[in-house]
Amino acid sequence: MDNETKKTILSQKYLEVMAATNGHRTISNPTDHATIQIQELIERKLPKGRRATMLSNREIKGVILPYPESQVKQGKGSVKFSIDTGVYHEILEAAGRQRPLVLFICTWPSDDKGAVIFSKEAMSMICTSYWFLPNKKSKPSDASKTINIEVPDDQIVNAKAFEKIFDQIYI
Amino acid sequence: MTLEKITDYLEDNKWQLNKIGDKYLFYAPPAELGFSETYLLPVPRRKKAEDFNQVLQETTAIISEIYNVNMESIALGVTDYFDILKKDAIYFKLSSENVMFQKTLEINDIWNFLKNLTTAYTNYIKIELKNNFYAKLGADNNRIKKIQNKLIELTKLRVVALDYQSFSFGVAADTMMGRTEIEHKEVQKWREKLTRNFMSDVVGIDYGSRNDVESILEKYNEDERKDIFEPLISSINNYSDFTITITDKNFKPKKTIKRISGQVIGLILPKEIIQEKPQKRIGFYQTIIPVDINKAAVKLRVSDLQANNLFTQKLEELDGHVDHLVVNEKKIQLKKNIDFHVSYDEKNGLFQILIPVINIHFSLKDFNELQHEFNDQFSTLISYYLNIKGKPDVRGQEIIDYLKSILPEGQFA
Repeated sequence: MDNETKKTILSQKYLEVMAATNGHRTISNPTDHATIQIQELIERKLPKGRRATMLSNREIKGVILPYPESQVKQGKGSVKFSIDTGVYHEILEAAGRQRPLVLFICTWPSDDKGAVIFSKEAMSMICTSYWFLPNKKSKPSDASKTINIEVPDDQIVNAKAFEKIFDQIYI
Repeated sequence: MTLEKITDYLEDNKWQLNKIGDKYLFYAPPAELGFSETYLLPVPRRKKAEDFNQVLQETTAIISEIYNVNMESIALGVTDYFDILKKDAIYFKLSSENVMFQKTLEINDIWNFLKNLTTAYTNYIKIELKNNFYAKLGADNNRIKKIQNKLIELTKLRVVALDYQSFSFGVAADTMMGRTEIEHKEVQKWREKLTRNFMSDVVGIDYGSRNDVESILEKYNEDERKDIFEPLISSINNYSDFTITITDKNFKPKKTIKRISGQVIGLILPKEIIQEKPQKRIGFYQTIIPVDINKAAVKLRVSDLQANNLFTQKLEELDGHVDHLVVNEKKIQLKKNIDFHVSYDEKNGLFQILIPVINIHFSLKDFNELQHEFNDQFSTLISYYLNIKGKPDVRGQEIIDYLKSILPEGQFA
C-alpha cells in the first residue's frame, strides 16, 4: 500500500472519529476511502419516558484529500493548498446540488511514522483537517493540473465545524 | 413522489413551515412528536438540482420513520392510499332470495359471513407464512410465532367500501402500514401480495372446477384445508339461503359462488372432521306427567318418554297454533289462531317452522325461542305488508288477506 492510500484511509478514520465525537453517524465506503457521509442524529422523547435517536435529514457528503503538512502555506487568516484540478471541479460542479460536496483536506506529517503515535495512555493522530466549500464567486479553472485554494483558518475541523458546515449546506 | 405531496403530508400532520430557504423548506414539528424545540426538518425545494429526487426520497424515508408508515402512503396521500387498498380489495355482495322479508338479510348471516371470512383469512396467513418461510426463518418456531402475531395484528381485513342498498362491501388488508415492524424483508414483500393471493388461493376458488379443487388438495394438507376452507364453506352452504357474489369495485357482479356439493366438501375437508360434527336427534313427544308443584324443577329423562307410557305419544311432526302475538310490546289477541308445523332438520340442526296457509317458513335454532320468533316474524310481516303503497302483487295480496283475517279489526292499517 502506498503512502497516499494509507493517508487517505487514515484521513477517513480521522474524520469518522471527529464526527462521532460530535455525535454524528458516518457512512464510509469500504472500497472508496476518499469519500465520507456524515449524518446528523437527533433525539426524540417518546411516551413513557423513552427516547429514540434518529436521523435529522441533514447530511454532509465529503471528499477526502490527504495533504502533506510540509506543503501547507499559511496566509493571512487562511491556509493555502494546491489541489488537483479534477477534485476542484468535482466540488465546484456539485455546488448547485441540494447536498453539495464538501472537501476535507487532512494534513499529515510528511514523516510516515509520525502520523499516528501510540503510547501506553493513548493513541494520537497527528492530523489537522480543514473543510472547503466553493462560494458563489468560485469559477472553473483553466489550470491543467493543480489549482490553489485558500481556506479560512476558522474552517478547521473541530468540535463546531460540522454544525457550521450543516448551516452552509442547509440554506 | 412530489414535493407538494410531502409538504401536504407534513401540513396535514400539523408541521409548520418555519422558513423558506434558498435550497430547502424548513418545517417545525408538532410538539407531541417529542423533538427538541430547535429542530427543523429540511425539505428540498430546488427541483432542478440533480440530487433533488434522491434527497426528497431520503426526506420521505425520515418522515415514514417518524410516523411508522410506508413511504408509498406519504407519496400518495391519504385519499390515494385508500384507492390502493380499494384496488386490491375483494368485493362481495350478499343477497337473499327470501321474499318473506323482501330479500333483506339477517344481521346474523352478515355477521357470520364476515366472521368466517376473517377466520379463513387469519388461518391462511398463519399457514402460508409457515409454509413459505419456516426454513428461511431458521425453523425457529418462536420467531415464526412472533412474526405471525405481528403480521396478523398489522394485516387485519378492513372494510374499504360499502353499499348498503344491496349489502355489498369490499374488504382489503392493510399490507403496508407498520412495515418497519416486520423485521424480515421477504415476509413484508410477501405481505404486500396477501390480499391478492388470498383472493386467488381461497375466495376465488371455483369449487365446481376439478382443477381448482385438486390445486387445494395439492397445496394444503387436511388440517390446513380445515382451517382455511371450513369457515368459508359453512358460509357458502349457509342455511339462510343467502347468496354470495364476488363483484367488481363498482359492485357489479362478477361471479356468484355456488353452493358446494357434498362430494366436493368430502374431498376438501377431512372425513373425520365431518364425522366428528355432533348431530342432534330430535323427537317430538306429547305427554302428561304428574308434577310436584312445590318443587322448582321437574326431572325428566329421555328414557322416561321412550318407555311404554300410556300418557306419552311420539309425534312425527309437531302441529301447533298461536293465539296471540306481541307486536311493538303490545299483546294482540288474534281473531283466528295461526296454525303451524314444526319439524327438525337434523342435517342443519334447525327447527323448521311452516305456516301452511300462506306457505311461509322460517328456521329456529333454539326451540324455546318459538313464541319470540313468531312475534318477530309477524311484526315484520305486519309492518311491511300492511303498509304497502300501491297495488301489491299476487303473493303480497295473499299475505295481506291472511293477516287481515287473523288480526283484530281497526288495530292495523
